[in-house]
Amino acid sequence: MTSTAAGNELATDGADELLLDVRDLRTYFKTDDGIVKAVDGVSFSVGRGETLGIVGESGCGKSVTMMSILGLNPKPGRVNIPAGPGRGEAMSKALQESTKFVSLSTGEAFFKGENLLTVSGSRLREIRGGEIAMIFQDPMTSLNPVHSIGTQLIEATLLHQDVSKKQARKLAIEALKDVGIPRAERRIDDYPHQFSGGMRQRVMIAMALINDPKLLIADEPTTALDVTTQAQILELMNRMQEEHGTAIVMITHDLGVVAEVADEVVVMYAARVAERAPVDNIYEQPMHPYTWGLLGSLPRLETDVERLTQIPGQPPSLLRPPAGCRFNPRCTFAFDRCRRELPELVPALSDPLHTQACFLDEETKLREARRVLAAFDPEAAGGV
Amino acid sequence: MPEELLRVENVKKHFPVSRGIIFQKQIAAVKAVDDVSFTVNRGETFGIVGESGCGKSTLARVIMRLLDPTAGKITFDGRDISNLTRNEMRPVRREMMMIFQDPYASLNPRKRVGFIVGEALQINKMGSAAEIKRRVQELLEVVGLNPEHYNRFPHEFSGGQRQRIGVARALAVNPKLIVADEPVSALDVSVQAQILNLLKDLQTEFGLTYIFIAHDLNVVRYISDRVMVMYLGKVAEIADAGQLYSEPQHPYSGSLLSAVPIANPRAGRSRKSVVLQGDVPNPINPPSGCRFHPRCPRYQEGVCDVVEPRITEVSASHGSACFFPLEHWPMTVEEISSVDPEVVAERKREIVPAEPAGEPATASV
Repeated sequence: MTSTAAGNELATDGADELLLDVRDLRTYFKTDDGIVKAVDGVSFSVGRGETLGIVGESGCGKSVTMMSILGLNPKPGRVNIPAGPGRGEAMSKALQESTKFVSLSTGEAFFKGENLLTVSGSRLREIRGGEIAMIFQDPMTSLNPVHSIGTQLIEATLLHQDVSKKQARKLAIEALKDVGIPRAERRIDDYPHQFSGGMRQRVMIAMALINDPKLLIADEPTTALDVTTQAQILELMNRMQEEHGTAIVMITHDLGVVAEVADEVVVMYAARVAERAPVDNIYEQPMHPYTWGLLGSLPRLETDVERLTQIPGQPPSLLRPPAGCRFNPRCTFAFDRCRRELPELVPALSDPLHTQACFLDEETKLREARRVLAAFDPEAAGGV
Repeated sequence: MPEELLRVENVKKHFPVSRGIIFQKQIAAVKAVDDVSFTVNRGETFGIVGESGCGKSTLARVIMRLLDPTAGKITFDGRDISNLTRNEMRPVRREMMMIFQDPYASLNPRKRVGFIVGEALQINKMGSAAEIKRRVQELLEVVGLNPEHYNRFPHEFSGGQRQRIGVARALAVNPKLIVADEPVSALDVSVQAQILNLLKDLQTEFGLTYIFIAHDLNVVRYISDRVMVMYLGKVAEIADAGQLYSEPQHPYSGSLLSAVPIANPRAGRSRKSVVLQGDVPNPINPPSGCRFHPRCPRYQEGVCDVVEPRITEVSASHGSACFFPLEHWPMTVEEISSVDPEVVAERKREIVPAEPAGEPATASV
C-alpha cells in the first residue's frame, strides 16, 4: 500500500499515470420485470500502484461495474451507441429489441490506452488474467474442485506466458511460497477442498499474481473469512502490492477494510457514484449525506456509541429508481431540486481530488459532517 | 443487585464421530462446546464472540435445548432445565425465543407473515383467532412494519424487513430471554444499524434479556453489556464490554481486537497490530493444554502446552483463561510476545505437582 500522499501525487500526475480510466460507464440488464440499470453513469480512475476502494451496499452496482469492464456480464451485447444525453434510452431500446443479448455496457474504460469496452474478445481474454487479474469473494466456488490447484495455476501461467510446463510448475510453486503456503512443493498437488478458507484465498491470490498483473481487481476478497484470517490476507495483499507494484481495485461493503487498504475511495449508491475522495477525506470530511449515513450507522470498536444514526428506508430498486437524486427518498436534507434533478459529480471544497454528487450547500455539509463525526470521535470533529 | 436469569455451568456438547456402516463405533468426538460456564442477568445483553467453529452457535442451541448437553447444568429462571423432557420443556420454551442469522432461510416461504408471527401464540393457545390477529398486528407495528403486511408472504420483503419479522416472531409470546444468533450479519450496514437500534429500543421497552451471538466485534461492542470471547469450544475471556475492549487480558482477545479493521484511516495507520498466524485447529483433536497455544504470541513451552488454564478473575466482572495475561493494551508484536521470565518460572513451579495426575492446575494471579 502506498501512502495516501503518494496516492494523491499519482492521481494528479496527469493522464499518463492513469492505469484505468473509466468514464460514464453504464450497464443495463434485461429482465422479465424490465430494464435494470445496474450501473448508470459511473466514472473513476486508478493510478499505477494505487489502491482504489469501491464501497457501497449490496445491489449498488459495485461488482457489476468491474464485471462490465472485464466483459464478464452474462450475454453481453455489442451495440455502438454514441455518447450524449439520449444514451440511456437508446440502450434500453436496444436491449428490449434484442433477442441475442441480455446485458449491455457503454461508455469508456481505458486500460493503458485501450478501451476495454470496444476491444476484441480475444484481446480481452489476453488482458484478463494477464495484465488484469481478479480475486472473488468465495474462494471455494472460484476454484475448480475437480482439478488440483497446481493444474489450475499451471493453466493460468501457460495461457499468458511463453513457458514450458515444467517451468510453469516451478513458477506455480514459487507463487504458492510467495503467498505463504507452507510445503508448497507438496501442496501444489492438493485439491481445493484440502485447504482452509484462508489458504484457498491465498491460492487465489497466487493465481492472480502469477502473471504479474498491473491491476488486481478484488471483489470482497475477505468477506467470507474470519477476522484474524482477514487480517492475514489484507497484510498479504499489502505486501504483494509493495513487491509487485500492482494497482488494486478493492470492492467491499466494509468501511473498516477500505480505511485500512485504500488510497482513494469511491462511494457508490444505487448505480451511481455519490462521492469520491482520498481515503482520509472520506472519513474526516465526508461531503455526501449517504456517506454520513454509512459512517453514522457503523458500530465502532474504539468508542462507546450510545445510539447509531440510521439511514431510514431501503435502497431503491434499480428497475424504477426515484426521480432526481437517487438518495433523495432516504435523505433528511432533500429539497425540491433533489427530487427533480440528477446531481453530477462536482469538486467539493474546491478540491479537484474530492468530488461529490449532492446539491446541498457546503456550509451545511461541513457542519453536518462535523456533527456526524463527533458522535464517535470527539477529537477528529474538533479538527475538521 | 443484578438478578440472575440464566446460569450455565460446565456445559459440554460433544458430537460423536463414528466409523463403520453397520457396526458403528465412535472413534472420536468433536468437542464443540467444552466446559463453558457463565451467567446472564435479567435485562442485560450478553454478547458471545468468536470465529467460525468456536462453538458459539452450538452453545446457543444447547441453551435453548435444541441440542441436549453432553454434560453440565443449565439453570433458567431458577429452574434446572438441562434434563427436562420434551413435554416438560414445552412451557419453558415460550420463555426463551431465538432470532436467526439468515432472514431468508428462517421464514417459511409458503406461510403468510401473520401465521409466521402468530404461530407460537397458536401453539401455546394464547388467545382466540381474533385476539391473536390483533396481537400480531400490534407486534408488526412494534418492529416497524405496517400492520397491513399481515397477509403478505416473506418473499415480498427485503432482508431487513424479514429480520424485523423474525424479531416480531420472537417477541410474540413475551419471552424472558431472546437468543439472537448472528441476527445482523447478513444485512447491509445501514439496515444493520436499523435492526440494532430496534433491538435496543425493544429491550428498554419490554425489559428483555438478550444473548447476542456475533463474529463482528464492532456490533457486539455496540449492543452488549458483557461479552464472552470463545475459542475452540472454550471460554477465553468474560468481561464488561468496555473493559474487554480497553483492557483485554487474553492474548486471543487482544489479537482479535487488533485484527478488526477500524474505519479511521489515520488511527489505523498508527495502530499497533498483532496479526495471528495459522488457522483455527481441528476441534476433533484440539491442541493440548491451552487450546490457543499453537497460535499464541505469548506461548511458553512447558506451561501452556501442558496444562489447561482455568478462568481467573481480575475483578468481579472480568476473568480470563490465560497463564500470562496481557499487562496493558494496546501492545506491539514485540511487547505481546515478551513474557517476564520470572512469571514463567513461577507458573512452572505451580504446575509441576499437578502434572502426573493430569489434573489441570489452578493458576492464581
